[in-house]
Parts: sequence; structure tokens; C-alpha cells
Amino acid sequence: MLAGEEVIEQMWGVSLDRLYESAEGQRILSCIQCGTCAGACPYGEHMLYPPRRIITMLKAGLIEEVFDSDSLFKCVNCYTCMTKCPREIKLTEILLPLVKEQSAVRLEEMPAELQKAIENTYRYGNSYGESARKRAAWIDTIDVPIRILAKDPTPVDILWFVECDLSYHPRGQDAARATALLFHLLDLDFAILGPEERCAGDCGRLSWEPGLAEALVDYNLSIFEKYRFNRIVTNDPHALDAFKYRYPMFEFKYKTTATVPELHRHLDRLAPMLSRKLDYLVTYHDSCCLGRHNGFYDEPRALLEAIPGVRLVEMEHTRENSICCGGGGGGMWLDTWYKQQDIERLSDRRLREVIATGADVLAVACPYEVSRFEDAVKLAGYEDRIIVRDITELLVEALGGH
Amino acid sequence: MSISIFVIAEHLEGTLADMTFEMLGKARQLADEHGGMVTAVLAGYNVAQLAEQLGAADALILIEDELLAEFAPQPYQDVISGLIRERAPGLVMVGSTSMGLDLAAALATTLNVPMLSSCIDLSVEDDAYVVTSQLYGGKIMMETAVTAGTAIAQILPGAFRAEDGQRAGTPTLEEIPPGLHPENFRMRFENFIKPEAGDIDITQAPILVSVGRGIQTQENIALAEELAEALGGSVSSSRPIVDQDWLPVTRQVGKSGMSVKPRLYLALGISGAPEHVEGMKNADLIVAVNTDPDAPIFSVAHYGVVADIFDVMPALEERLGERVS
Repeated sequence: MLAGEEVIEQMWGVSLDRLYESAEGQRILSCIQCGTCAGACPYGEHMLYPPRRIITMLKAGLIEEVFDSDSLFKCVNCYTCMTKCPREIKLTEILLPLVKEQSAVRLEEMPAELQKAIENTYRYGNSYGESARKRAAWIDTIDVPIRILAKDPTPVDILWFVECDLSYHPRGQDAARATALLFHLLDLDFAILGPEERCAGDCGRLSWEPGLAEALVDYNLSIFEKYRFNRIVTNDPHALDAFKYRYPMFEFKYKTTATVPELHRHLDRLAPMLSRKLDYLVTYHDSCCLGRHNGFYDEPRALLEAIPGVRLVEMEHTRENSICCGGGGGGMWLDTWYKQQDIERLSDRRLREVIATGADVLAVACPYEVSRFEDAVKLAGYEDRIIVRDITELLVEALGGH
Repeated sequence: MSISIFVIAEHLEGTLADMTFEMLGKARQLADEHGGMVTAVLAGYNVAQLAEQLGAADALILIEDELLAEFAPQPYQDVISGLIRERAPGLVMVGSTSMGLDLAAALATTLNVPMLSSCIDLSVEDDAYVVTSQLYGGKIMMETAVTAGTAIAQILPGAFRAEDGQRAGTPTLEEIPPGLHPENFRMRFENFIKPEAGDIDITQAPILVSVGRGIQTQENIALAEELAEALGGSVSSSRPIVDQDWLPVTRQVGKSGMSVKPRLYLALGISGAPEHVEGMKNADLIVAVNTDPDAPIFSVAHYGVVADIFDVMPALEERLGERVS
């Protein structure tokens, strides 16, 4: 794996027509056509042009035909092809977003749901189309003191970037409340941006609408500049990706981590607080961005194992082989489009693996996953067999006295 | 002040659009109150027979040419701008429709006259036409007074009642030559593509009987359809029902389906996931029936019933039947 700075160096300014001028473009020429990428892709079987064929077409000068297909609308930015590539070609980071952008431009009609999400994000700074002023409304629903920087701009250690789903989605807010309580009990020095925060411009939107992503980067950077903080912590692994890999191209220099590894750092203090036994058989779903792209496989498991009574069981595909929930790469807003293409949603496919483990609880660490898997559970009629919980929710449930 | 209003008639496939009558009705009312002339302008090809429906106008100017058979922006701009320049009416009413949006701005720039968009009301005060326009999607209203010269007003569909403009009788007919300049036309009408005859449009239904997982089986959807019929509404659903292929995707309400705003939304066995609520929270009246008192649907419902939908549906239908008889 390349070091972060090296990746950024190679991604900056790469466009399709200048692809071969970059080191990363040169690397594409080294493709040995082994087909590992296409075979590993969760939607590869539904693509006319899976990654391997895209490279063939690119080399043959026939890339326009790829743009005219809807193959890359089925790419969920799960980093599987890139992680598996024996030549270390940065498919998910470089080639596929460039192709996606061109495919979207040529599409006769954007799927309505995706278009609405993009428009909402442009207008309101969140895909829900909710008012920015309501972004911190959830903090009134808990007793934990939460500092908003605009009201008290004194320097702070952690800027907690809450992100859209935790701010607006009722199930996301459950995780926001749980996270706030955990940070508070661990005595972390944290504050949020509240109404000043806007969507980080996650990996999905970065690929479909680079212009929108740049506008969001500019905006968020201008807000970051107003305050003094040491580092950023976010619950959303997509935001982590944005801050770690995209924002640095725009001179963003803050250290960023996700909530799960942050909590894991304090496990020695957190573990004694977990006094309530939870007699659950838990299976953990590795988030693509947290796991495959950033390598946090052990931290979420260690947090779950710290809960008394919890027993962990693994699914058939786990860690770097985990199957995406289908929400990345814009998939969050293509559910009906997939349905119309007669393609099974990845969350439905993944749920079968969950059920096969016999677990009582599916633990997740990405805000997309709670609603996606709860939907899948409902559709499959497994409401009585399995519940879906964010790791932070399970930790709070185990707090006992608090 | 004696008014002088031109109404640009809109027609498609031999039928006058309601928009035409909506504008004529309002213009007629102003002319009756203040005196003056309402002139309908009908451009097209073989459309003379439509004149007999335009009785609300005092006069009709008919312009016929093969190039005007179907709407295309340039030929229409060409004939109508020439006419307005020559006759100089006080106000020209154009629909805020696909056709009118193409036409109005081009007329205004060609003639160098003011244009008022998104108009929802019109009155005459002293020596001026006072036009009320919507700003910011209706959050703010703007009043503009047109005191001299000609102005173009783009009227929002539904601002006035079509019935007021539907009067039989042929106004005084004047046919003028088109005087087109086809050498300047860079756009032409190719063909008219009709949308496929599809399912009902749930966004237009005044009453929606919406079913969720609580309906249990595909066969039970017939019960909801009976109830919808008794209420004079249509059946919609949450996503799981469409995922099961029990209803087509055109019936789906929510984030990945339609956003609806009916007068009544009856949510039957819908738990109210945020993705669903996003598409129906703005309904005028929401009534939810669910066996689970903690179902989130009750937080957006105006009325909630904690009960089995299979008890409520037949009971409701029975009472509705009694009312009708």
C-alpha cells in the first residue's frame, strides 16, 4: 500500500486525457488482465464493462463506449477491486471516478433519486434537503453538554465532524447521542460545528459531481480556518476518506480519524465503564471505507469484545473480503434504480450472510448501514431474529449505570 | 382606464389548453369591471374551428400557417412579436407553461418590453395593471405596477379558474397573414412524443390509501384498493411492498419513490421509516393505523389509531358505504 502523501501526489490533477502522463496512469498500462478486479466486484456480473474490460477499452482507445454504458452506475466505491489488484492499480481512487464522471455527463437522464440527493447537497449542504440550522437540533435531545464552536470559539482538542446522517436521520441521531455520551464520559475535549457544518462530500459524490465536491471542500475548509483545534474525529467513514485522501489536495492539513479507532485508543478507560452484561451473539459488518480503505479491522472488534457477555461470530466474507452494503458511490440514492434493473441490493445479499451466522445483533460502524440493513431485515421478514446496532449504541447499552 | 389585454392561446393536437381559458377568464373579468378589450391571439394551422370556444374574448386574431401547426419557438415569436409591435396592447398574457416559457422571454427581449414571471394575480388600479408574482417558490409575493407601454405577464397555471373563461360564442374574427421569415428559423418542430400510457400518477391523487408491510400478503392489497375506491382515492405504498413486486414502482412513496402531498394520506401498516416519511410528511392530513404504538409514523400523523388494519379497513369501508347510501 502506498503512503498517504504518495497517493495524493499521484491523484492530484489526473484527468482521463492526461492519465498516462501520471505515474498512476503508467501503472494502468501494467495491467495483466488477470480479471481479479471483475471477479471480486460485488456487481461485476451486472456490468457490461467491469474494471478489467475498462482497462482493455482504455488501452484500445475505445473508452467512449464505456462512457456510453451504465456499467459504472453499479460501482459502489467499495475498494474491493483496488485492494485485490496484484499490480496495485488505484482503480477506485483514480480510474473509476474519472470514468463515472464521464458516464454521468452522457446519461440521458440521471436517476431521479440521485439527482435529488445531489441537488439537496448543493442547496442545503445535506442530501436530506433539511435546513442547515437544524443540523445540531439533535443535541437538545440529550443531557450531555455539547459545545458548538460558533458560540464558544476557544481552542479545542477534537473537532467532532458529525456529518449529515448522524445529524438528521433519526437512527443516525441515535449513534450521535451515543457517541456524544461516550466522548463525555471519557472526558474528551470536543466540540462540533453545528449549523456551520456541511456534508464533507463523501466518496460517492466526489465521483459523480466533482464540482460539487470541490465547492463543499472549499466551504468546509473556510469554516475550519475560523477555529483552532488539534484534530478531526468523524463517525462517517466516508467523511474520513474525504478528509484523508481528497481534502489534502486542497491544502487541508488536519489529522483525522474515525470514532471507532478514537474510542479504541481509550479502551483501557472505557472497558471498566462497561458494567452491564449483554448476552448477545454479535456479527460485525466491516465498512468498506473504515476497513478495506483505512485498515481498521481489529479496533471495532476489540470494542465489541470489551462488552461483557458479547460473543463475536464472523460472516463468510469478512475483513478485506467483506461485501459492501451497497450504499457507497451514490448507491445510497440508487436503490430504486437497482430495483428497476432487476439487481439485488447488496444489503439484501449481505443480510443472508448475517442470518447464516445465527447472530442476534448485526453491529455496524458506518451511518449508511443502520438504515440499509434495517430495511433489508424488514424486507426479508427477520424483524424477530436480528437487530442492527451501531457499535456506539451497543457500548452505551453496556454502560449500565449511565 | 380602459384595458387592452392580449391573451396568447395555447393549443395542442387540436384542443385548447385550460391555460388559455384561465387567462381569458381573468382578462374578461377586468374588462367587464373597467371597460376595454380582450383580444385572443390564436396562431396555428387549421385551427379556425377553435374560435367558437373563445367567447370570453371580444376579438380574435387568427394567424394560420403550416409552420405554426405545432409549437416551435421561433415561428411563434416571429408572428406574435410583429403583432404586438403593431398593435401595442397594454398587457400580453402568456402561460407559464412549456410553450409560454419559451415564448414570453423571447418576446420581451425582441420588443424590449418588461416581462413579469410567475404571476398569480392581476388587477387594475388607477392607471396601471398591478401584477402579483411569486418569488422564492411562493414564499414572497411581489406586486408590480405596469403604467405605460406594453408588458408581458407570464401567468402560472392554476392561478385563475378555467371555467370563468369557457364561454361559447365566436368573437369578432380578424385573420392576418403570418408574414414569417423562415430563413431565420434555426429550430423546427420534429415530432410529438407522447409519454407511454402508464400507471396512475400518485402525486396527483387527492386521497392516498398507502400500505406497508402490515398488509402481509399481495392478496390483501385488494382490500386497500376497495377502500381507496370507497374514499375516491388511489393506492400507494412504502418501499417493501414495491420490493416484493406487490405494486409497481410508480406507487412508491418516499426517498426512493414519489413525494406526495395529498389532502388525506391514510398510512396502513406503515412503520414510518425516515425514508418513507420524507415523501409524505407534507400531506395535509395524515392518519396512521399501526399495531405498534411506538411506530415512528405516529410522530408525523395528525391522527393515529393503534389497531389491526384488518379491523379498521372493513369498518371504515362499511361506514363510508352507509354515508353514501
